[in-house]
Amino acid sequence: MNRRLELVLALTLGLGGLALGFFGSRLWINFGTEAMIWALFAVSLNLLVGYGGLVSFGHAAYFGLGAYAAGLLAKLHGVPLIYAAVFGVAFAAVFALLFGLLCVRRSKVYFAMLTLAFSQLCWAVVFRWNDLTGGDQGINGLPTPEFNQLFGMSNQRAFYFVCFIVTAIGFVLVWRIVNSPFGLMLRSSKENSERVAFLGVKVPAVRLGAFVIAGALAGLAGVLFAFHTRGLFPDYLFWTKGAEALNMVVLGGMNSLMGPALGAVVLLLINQEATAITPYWSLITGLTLALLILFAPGGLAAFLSRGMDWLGGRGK
Amino acid sequence: MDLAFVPAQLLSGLTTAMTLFVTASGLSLIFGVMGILNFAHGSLFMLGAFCLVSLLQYFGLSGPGFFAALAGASLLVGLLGAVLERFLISRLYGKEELFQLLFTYSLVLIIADLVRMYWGVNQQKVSRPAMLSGNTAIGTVSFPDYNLFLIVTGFVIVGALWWVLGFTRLGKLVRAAAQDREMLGMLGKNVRLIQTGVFATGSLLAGLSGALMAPLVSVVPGMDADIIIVLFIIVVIGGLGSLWGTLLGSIVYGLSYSFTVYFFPQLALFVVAALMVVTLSIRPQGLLGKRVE
Repeated sequence: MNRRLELVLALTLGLGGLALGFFGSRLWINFGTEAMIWALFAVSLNLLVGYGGLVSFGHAAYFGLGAYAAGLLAKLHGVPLIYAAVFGVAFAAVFALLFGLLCVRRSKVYFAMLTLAFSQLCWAVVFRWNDLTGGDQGINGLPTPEFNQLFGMSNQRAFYFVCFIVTAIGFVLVWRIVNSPFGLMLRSSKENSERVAFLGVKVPAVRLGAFVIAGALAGLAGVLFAFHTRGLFPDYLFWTKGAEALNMVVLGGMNSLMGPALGAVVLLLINQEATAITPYWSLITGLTLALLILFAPGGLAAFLSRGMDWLGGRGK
Repeated sequence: MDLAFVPAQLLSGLTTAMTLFVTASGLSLIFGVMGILNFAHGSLFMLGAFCLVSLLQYFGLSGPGFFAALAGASLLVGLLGAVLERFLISRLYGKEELFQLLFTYSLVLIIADLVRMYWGVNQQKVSRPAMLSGNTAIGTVSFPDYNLFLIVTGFVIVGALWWVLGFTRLGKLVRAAAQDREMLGMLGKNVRLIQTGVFATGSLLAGLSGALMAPLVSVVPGMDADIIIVLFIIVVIGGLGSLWGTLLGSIVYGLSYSFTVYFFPQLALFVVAALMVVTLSIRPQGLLGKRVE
C-alpha cells in the first residue's frame, strides 16, 4: 500500500510514543507499554493475515508460549531476564515451526481451524499442568526488570523505552521482510498461490517462513507482556486473545504495516475510555468491528489514505 | 478390574454427545449450505440456556411448563437467527473468508455483552423438571431420567434431520442449495428463503440444545467461548457439512471426554484438542466429510 501513509503513521505513532515516554504520567506510561506490546502482537499477526492471506485464529499460542517460557525460566531458575527473553522468543519460534509444518498445507477455513486447535492444545496443557504453570491461577510475582536508575529514569519508564526500541525494531524488521523478495512471494501467494507455484516457488515453504517469523514476534510480545504485568495467566493462550489481535488488525487496516499498530492503540483507548463510562466495552468493540467489516473493510488506514490523497490532490 | 464405572461414564458421555450433536448439526448445516463458519453459534447456544431460565420463571417448573419454556427458548433463538441472516449475515456471502469469520466473531462480542446486560454476570440456577428428576434402573445400574430424555431427544433429532434432508422435497432443495446456489436460483427457486430458513433452523437447534443442557451445566456468561471450541472440535472430527459425520464426531467427543475425565481428569481438555489436531493434520475433511483441497 502507500508508502507515504506508512511513513506518516510511523512518525505520528513513534513521536507520540517518545513524547509519552518523556512526559507521560505513571498511568499513561503503563497504557503506552501495553499498547506497544499489543501493537507488536497485532503487526506480527498481520504478517500472516494481511500479507499472506492466512487467517490464524491461534496466534495467542505463540504469545503465551513466549511469555510462559521466559517467565518460568526467570522465576524458577533465576535466569537473567535478557537470556530468559531470548529463550522465550526461541521457544515460541520452535513451536511455530512445529505447528506451522502441519498448518501451512491447509487452506482457508481449515487453516483457521488447525491454528485454533493448536492454540487450544497449548492452552489445555498450561491450564492443567498445575505443578509447573500454576494452572488456572497462573503465576504471580515474576522478577521485575531492573535498570538501576539508568539516565535517572524510574524502572517503569526505562522498561517503557525498552519496549519502544524493541517494538520499533520489530516493525522495521517486518517492513524489510514484506518488501524483500521473500515478502513479494508471500504477498503474491495470497493473490494467486497456484500461479506463484508455477513460477517455481515453494509456496508452503514461504508460508512456513512467515509463520515462524510471526510466531517469534508474537513470542517477543508475550515475553514483554509477561515482564510488564509480572504475571503469567492461561488466558494468554486462550483463543479469544488471538481474536482480540485480529480485531486490531481489521480495525487498523490489514493492507498496511502500521495499520494494525494504529488499530491496537485505538482499540485499547476505546477500551480504557469506555470502561470508565460503561462496563460493556466488548459490546462497543463488537459493534465497531461489525460496522467496519460491513462498510469499511479497509479499516482506519484506508480512511487515512483516502484523506491524504484528497489533501494531496488539493495541494497540487 | 471393576467395570462398574463403564455404564455410568458411557451414559454421561452419550448425554453430552447427543445434546452437543443438536447444536453441532446446526453449525454443520449452516456451513454446508452457506459456507459460513459461524463463531456465534456458541453464543446462540448460550442464549438458549438463558432464555430457558427466564421463561421458566414465567411458565413455572411443572412438567408442561418446562416443555413450554424449552419450545419458547428454541423458537426465540431461531427467530433471532432468521433476523441475523436476513439483515447481516447475508451481506457477507461471497466476501473474503476473513470477513465472514470476523463478522460472526463480532456477533460473539455483542451477544456476550447483551446477555450480561440483561441477565447479569451471576450464574443462573436451573433445576430439572419434576417429572424427569427421578432415576430409572437399567439392569443393575440406575440412570438419571433427564439424561435418558436428552439421549432420546438427540436421536429423535438425528432421525428428523435425516428424514427431512434425505427424503423430502424441502431436503432436496436444501441439498441443491448446498451444491449450486446459482443453478437453483435459475430454476426459479427462492434461494434467499432457503438460506434464511437454514440459518434459522441451525439457530433453533443451537437454542434448543442450550436450553436442554441448562440443568446440567453452569449457565453463566462466558460459556459461549468454551462451547464454540467444543463445537468446532466435533464438526472438524466428523467432517464439516456432513450429518452423519457430525453425529460420529459428537459421539467420539462425548465418549473420549467422559472416559478421559474418569481416568486422567487432568488430560481431558488436552485429549479432545489433540483429537482435533490429529484429524485436521491427516484428514482435514474429517472422518466422514467430502474430500477437500
